[in-house]
Amino acid sequence: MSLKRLVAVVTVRNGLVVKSYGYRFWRPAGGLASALRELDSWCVDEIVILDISRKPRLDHRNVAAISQAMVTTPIIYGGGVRTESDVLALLQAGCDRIVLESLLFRNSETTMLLCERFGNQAFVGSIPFFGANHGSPIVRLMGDEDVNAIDMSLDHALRILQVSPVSEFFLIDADNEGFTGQFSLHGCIPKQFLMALNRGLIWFGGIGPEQMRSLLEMPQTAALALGNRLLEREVEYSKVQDQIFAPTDKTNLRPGLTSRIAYNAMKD
Amino acid sequence: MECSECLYTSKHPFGLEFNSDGLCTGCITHKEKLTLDWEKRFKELEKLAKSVLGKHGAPYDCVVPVRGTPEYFYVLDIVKNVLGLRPLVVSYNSHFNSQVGIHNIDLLRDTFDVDFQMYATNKNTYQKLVREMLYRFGNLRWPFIAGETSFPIRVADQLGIPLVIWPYHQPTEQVGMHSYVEEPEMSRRSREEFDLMGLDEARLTSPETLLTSNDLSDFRYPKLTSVIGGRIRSVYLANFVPWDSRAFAEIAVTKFGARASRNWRTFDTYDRVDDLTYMSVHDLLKFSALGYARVRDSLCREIRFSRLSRNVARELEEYYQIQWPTGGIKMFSEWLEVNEEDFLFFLASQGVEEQEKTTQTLSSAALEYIAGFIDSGFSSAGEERYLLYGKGIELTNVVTSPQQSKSSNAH
Repeated sequence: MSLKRLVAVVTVRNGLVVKSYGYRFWRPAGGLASALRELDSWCVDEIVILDISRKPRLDHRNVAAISQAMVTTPIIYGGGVRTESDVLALLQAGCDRIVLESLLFRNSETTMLLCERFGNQAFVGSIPFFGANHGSPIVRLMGDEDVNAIDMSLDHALRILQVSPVSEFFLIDADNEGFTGQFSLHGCIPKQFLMALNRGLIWFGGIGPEQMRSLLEMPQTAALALGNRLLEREVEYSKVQDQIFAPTDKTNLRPGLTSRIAYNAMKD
Repeated sequence: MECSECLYTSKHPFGLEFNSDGLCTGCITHKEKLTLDWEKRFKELEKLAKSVLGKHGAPYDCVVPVRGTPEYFYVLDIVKNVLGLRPLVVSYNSHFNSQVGIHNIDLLRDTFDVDFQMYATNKNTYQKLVREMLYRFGNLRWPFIAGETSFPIRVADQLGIPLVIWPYHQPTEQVGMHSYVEEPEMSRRSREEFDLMGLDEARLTSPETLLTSNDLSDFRYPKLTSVIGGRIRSVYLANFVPWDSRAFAEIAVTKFGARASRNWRTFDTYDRVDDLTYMSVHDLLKFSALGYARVRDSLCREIRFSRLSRNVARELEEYYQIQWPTGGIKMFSEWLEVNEEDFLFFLASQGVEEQEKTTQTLSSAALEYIAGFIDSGFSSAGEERYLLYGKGIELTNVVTSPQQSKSSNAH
């Protein structure tokens, strides 16, 4: 069984980190570079930076912050990526992979070209679900200055996603994002949908401690993503690890992390 | 963009977000003080206290950092008398202590009968750091904040004390960075990002400065290994009691005999009365850099507690933010060992200049509001020098009438 990842999500809006709640309400949370450095010092598996400013372009303040932070943790960046030069700028700044959402659904041709140019492994497809609380989720693409928001059924979304070349999918419970313990997606997305995606899944959006283990045990799960709570306390990441993985964990879902943090800290 | 209730704008250095009604996140979070079940919140604190009480073999259950301002009496009252914890009280010396600040620290220690450690970096090093931070960043507070936020953690680390109790998290109180139910705790990142303006001490030594690694040794935050596994937790009392600096300060003055003091550039007789640079030189630099002065922070608090209307708040802000702290500038120049004229030249380079004296007089509503602050009869304008240490001090900066402080504009 492959190792599962525990990924940290940093949400950015207009160049600053925010704590996001359902993508409707935000609290200011400081600068991006310091957030990246902190997560890096905690030895998180990966960091996902999501720019939710809803601008149809890459925010180069974020790119500068990524360069400035000089972290070694793998970074996945999403938000406003539209062109090959956007991808190049991010890779040169130190990102390892890119999240595509708008391009994934609205411009599959460009998505194909980018995957051909940089490799499928470099791209993760983002699927924002709304309506999970009512048991019947839809995919909603939020608009920006250039395009309107659109809703699509799971069937319609699946037809696009199945032929997309991205390597993994980022499934977001958008309504419950930021509300720990209220994640509802796994109970209402049909198994056939998930199997048809036929790629590793990263779950995100208010995942609570009680839900983590069962999500990780799903065979298709590649990773869990956590957001706001990682900004609230020191070394919160290792506490989450301890909650999920007992020392005598026989499933080998994830080896212990505390020793890695200690090793990293000794280098201070 | 400006908040529809308080005076903060989107230019706040911590960042500020707004809801669809134009209410800022600071005001939104503040409303939790009226709506949360604080009895339930306090039970969480009691649970935490029980988990550390006498359990780990050290002579203390927690470290409590304090300053010489009245609100810390409230903090210690909760920690010692309500929670029953054995605190080690610590304080980092700012070098700019007022008589009132020293007196309050003294009284804190005696009133609560606590063990107390105060640390003062040697003056040469401290002065070097203040000069460097002033010159490079226009900020003289960095050394004090760096020391104040690292000394208690280092003490906790060295003595094996598992808990540090701070009063409140400033970004949460001002701009609503967290909800109180999220129970944020102090972290290295929060310290670096919000307390130290993004300047971690590790990044301050460079060939262009006079600072060496040794100069910064008093300001180092302990390594991550010290906090792994919950060995040290740094919690905020404001997560468990609805924080109100003014109300707690007034309790301290009336119940414990803490001293209040009139201060430059503000009506607030409790806020920052321990440090003679805060409401003088520092506040001038802050006003120049950020476009607003400390008085706005106090006014936003008062508006949020519905103790003051926005109109009167604006009036008070306009009145106080232009006041010129002559005595404070003189004292600081002497401490820094520079000619006062040269220091004024430096201030001018930072955009700080004395404005024309205003003919504005405060309205009766404003005067009535100000009169609600306890006046212990002391004033920063009556001080002539900073105190480094003191015990059993007899206060000499007593102001018996407002006229005595007229020339320095301290109300």
